[in-house]
Amino acid sequence: MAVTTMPQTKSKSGFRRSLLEPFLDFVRRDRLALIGILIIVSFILIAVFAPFLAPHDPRDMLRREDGTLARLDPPSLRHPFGTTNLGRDVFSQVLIGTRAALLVGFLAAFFVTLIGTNIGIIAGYYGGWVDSLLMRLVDILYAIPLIPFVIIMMALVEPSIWNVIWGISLLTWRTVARIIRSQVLSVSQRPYVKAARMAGCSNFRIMYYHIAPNILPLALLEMAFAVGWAITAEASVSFVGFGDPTVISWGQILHMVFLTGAIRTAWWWVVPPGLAIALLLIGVFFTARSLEEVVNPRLRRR
Amino acid sequence: MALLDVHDVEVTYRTKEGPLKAAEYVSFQLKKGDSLGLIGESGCGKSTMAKAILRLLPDNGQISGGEILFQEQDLAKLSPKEMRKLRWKELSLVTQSAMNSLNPVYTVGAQIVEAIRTHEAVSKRRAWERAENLFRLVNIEPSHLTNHPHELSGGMKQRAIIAMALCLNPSLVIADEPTTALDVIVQDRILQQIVRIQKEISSSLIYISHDISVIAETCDYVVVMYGGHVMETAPVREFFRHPSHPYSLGMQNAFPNLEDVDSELISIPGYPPDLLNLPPGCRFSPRCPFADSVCQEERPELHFIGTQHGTRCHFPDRAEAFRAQAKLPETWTERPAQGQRGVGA
Amino acid sequence: MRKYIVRRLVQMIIGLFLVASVTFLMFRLLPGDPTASLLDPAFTVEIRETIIERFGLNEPLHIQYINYLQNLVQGDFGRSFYYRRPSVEVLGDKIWNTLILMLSSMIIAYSIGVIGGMILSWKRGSKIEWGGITLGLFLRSAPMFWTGMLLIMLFAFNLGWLPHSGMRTPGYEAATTFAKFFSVDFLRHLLLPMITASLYFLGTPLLIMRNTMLETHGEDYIELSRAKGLSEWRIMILHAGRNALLPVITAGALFLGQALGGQVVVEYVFGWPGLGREIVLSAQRHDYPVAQTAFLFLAFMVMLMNLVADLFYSYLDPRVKLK
Repeated sequence: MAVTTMPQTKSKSGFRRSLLEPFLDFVRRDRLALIGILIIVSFILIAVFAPFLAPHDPRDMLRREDGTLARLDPPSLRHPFGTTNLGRDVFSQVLIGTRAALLVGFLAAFFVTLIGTNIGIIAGYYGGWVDSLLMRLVDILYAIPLIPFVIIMMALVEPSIWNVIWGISLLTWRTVARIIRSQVLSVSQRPYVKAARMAGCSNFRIMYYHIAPNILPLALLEMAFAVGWAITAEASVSFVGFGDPTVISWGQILHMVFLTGAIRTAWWWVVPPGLAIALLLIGVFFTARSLEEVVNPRLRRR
Repeated sequence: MALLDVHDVEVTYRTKEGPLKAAEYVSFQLKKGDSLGLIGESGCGKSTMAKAILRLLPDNGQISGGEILFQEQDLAKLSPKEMRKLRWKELSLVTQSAMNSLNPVYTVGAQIVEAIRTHEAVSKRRAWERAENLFRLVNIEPSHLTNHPHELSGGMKQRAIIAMALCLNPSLVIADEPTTALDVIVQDRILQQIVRIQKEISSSLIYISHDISVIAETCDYVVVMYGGHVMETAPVREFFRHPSHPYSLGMQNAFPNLEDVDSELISIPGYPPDLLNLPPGCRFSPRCPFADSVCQEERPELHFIGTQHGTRCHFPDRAEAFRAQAKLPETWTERPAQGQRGVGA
Repeated sequence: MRKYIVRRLVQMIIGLFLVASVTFLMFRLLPGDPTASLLDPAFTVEIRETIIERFGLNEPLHIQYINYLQNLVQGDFGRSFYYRRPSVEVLGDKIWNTLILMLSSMIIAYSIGVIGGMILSWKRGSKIEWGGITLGLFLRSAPMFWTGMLLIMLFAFNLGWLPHSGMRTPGYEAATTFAKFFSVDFLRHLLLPMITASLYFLGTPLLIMRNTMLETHGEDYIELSRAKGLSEWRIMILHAGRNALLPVITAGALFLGQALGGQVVVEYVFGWPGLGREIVLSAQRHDYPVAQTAFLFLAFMVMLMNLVADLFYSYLDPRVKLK
């Protein structure tokens, strides 16, 4: 259409800078993305300053003024989210739990993206038997459901937050690898990649200097989704009781509610940790959605 | 009375950079059974006009002025429902890209039958028989009706679309660069088919193209568009014998001339105008070798130099001299290429 | 077509063999007691040693591996320590329970999601679209077990309308198989877990459908459909929708594994006697033969459902020829 004949002003200072630019530009204009990023940043701040923000030690068994154990107290000024059956402050627990969620979410997503992107680039670039082999591996991994896999792994090894991260990373890279590979296949067909090949650039240079920058937005998008899956997986695994017993996480808080049967009465113990998970993931998905529109311009509003 | 009377039509797109007028002061008439060629470079507003007549402008576009009288009713004022009844029954479209204009998940026959049965209460069987006849008309084996689009060649798809466009004997067919995606030989055959069938069913035709030679072969009238304006309008013979607007002259230079095979091809230097940043005077003035200060400041009117021959130029009486000079390559090269769009030049 | 299915089944068997191998490695190689996966910790030292001898657990790993595969081929998946029965027997009817919950919620989620996605894309730029996207993202963000807990709190404990756990009221005996799965009692038990899972599954088809619908809006055949004078409804459903459905099915097939994995926690929350809950329980009880078998069954179900999704896809898209 006539609308698309607008002159394109492209800076000559190389294409690398312009890759993230559309994203930053979007964040400036896109309300959802802005909200998403604000949510993530708030959670990061909460995680960093949790010990100062928390009014109580999350493991302390607190007492009421009359000296009795503050067992299942409903929310009050002293305990904004009430207390647990052992008199622990739910608010403080939820604040501290942010740390586990962010740690697992971002670290696992980082590993997932790192493995997935590299395998995707290698498979897509070399093609042939390398591609078939790696993609068959991906197919097999697709048949393995993530949460049961991590649960069984935790049952077999010492449950620790690091093992949860490894468990998630070991399996989830499959999605990233598949998506990156198909993008690499199309990028490899572009003239400048062919030109680089003609000019005798090394495979390594073509893969990581010419191709990789073009799939960066897509990789970031996949990473955002991976953060989502990782946080959900960690929460689920902790919820069924296979989390790190030494770390307070949102899933583990909910595990305790469920185990003690307090779900019948103590709504204040149930709602906040779940809401925290949902809110953090909303932040991640809002950001991802705007990344998605950068990656796929056809989704943009005119 | 003309079948179609486009009068001072203006089409505006809302864009992030502000309103964009893709067509302005566009007027032309078309009689029943005649064919009209709409010609110009990409971005000149010719496809916009096709979409405006069919009321198929994208969400951000609207007909912001003028009237489009079709069978004496103004299409621009019809309700969507009234317009929908008119579409295909009276006004049909042969689209630019045959490759993607058929829905990949349905058979070609089903898509033709759908068009027929949307507007006429006929049985599926009757509609299918009509589709078979149409396929014979465009020289495709009727058995191909049961094929899905991906099973047909590009030329066959384009002919299937032509068959579909004709299935309700519309009064007006708009063909928007229907052959651009095809190779030259197929192009030519399809072109001839369109003309033949159009005469047979005596419908009118608007043929949109950037290729002046195609228009010469197909059409009775020519309308030249540039930067959203009609620059010249004339019967086809008159247009090729006595082109009067400098842009038409430049354009004729840029295509091979069959009568004078040795003549050199000369292209017009510069680029079509940026529709968001239009020159105040004549839209062609920045590239026109004959332009002077009036041209840069004042918008010329469409001057009629014959009963049907109009030119949007300040100097309609100097056309004879322009024609002579335009033949010389120096005319087009000497002039410093001013007014080009800064980017990409 | 038949050839294709045979080929896919062969691929599936190879896949299963590989998954079984991964499982073998996982259970034998991970740090911890290598015999733990076969030995009931309650056994005395003497019995332990006899069993280690008998099952060849002191053999080198590759011999063990071959034994393991031989047993699998013969349908011997090991005996449960907890139930003291073959693990296949333990899990037999649990497969159906998992499938019923999974399929009913998938069907509900995809029907609503696909229609909702169409509407969202057609209302592009409106408040409805914005709200729909936010809702879709929220549904995908709220962890399933938490949604389940909220529903239990509300409908089971506060209002007392529905049972909070299990599949049948204790003491209830169904007269026939039909009554087993279609009795009011069963459906009342199914309702909450089904809603929980559907709500979570809903986000994916809703958002993908909206996206792919938006992509089809720009297609030439949509413009031509408009030029043909078709009604907007007809264009939206039969032309844009029909085409936009294809990627939704592909994405749905990929989502199956994740959905099935996520269902584990729903089954756990609602005490739904399916494979997922059994995995959690057997892992807690260190009943590894059952855990391992349930895990293999889950993988098998994912593969089988992927095959079904591919067949369905080829049925919907005439351009795909199965060879």
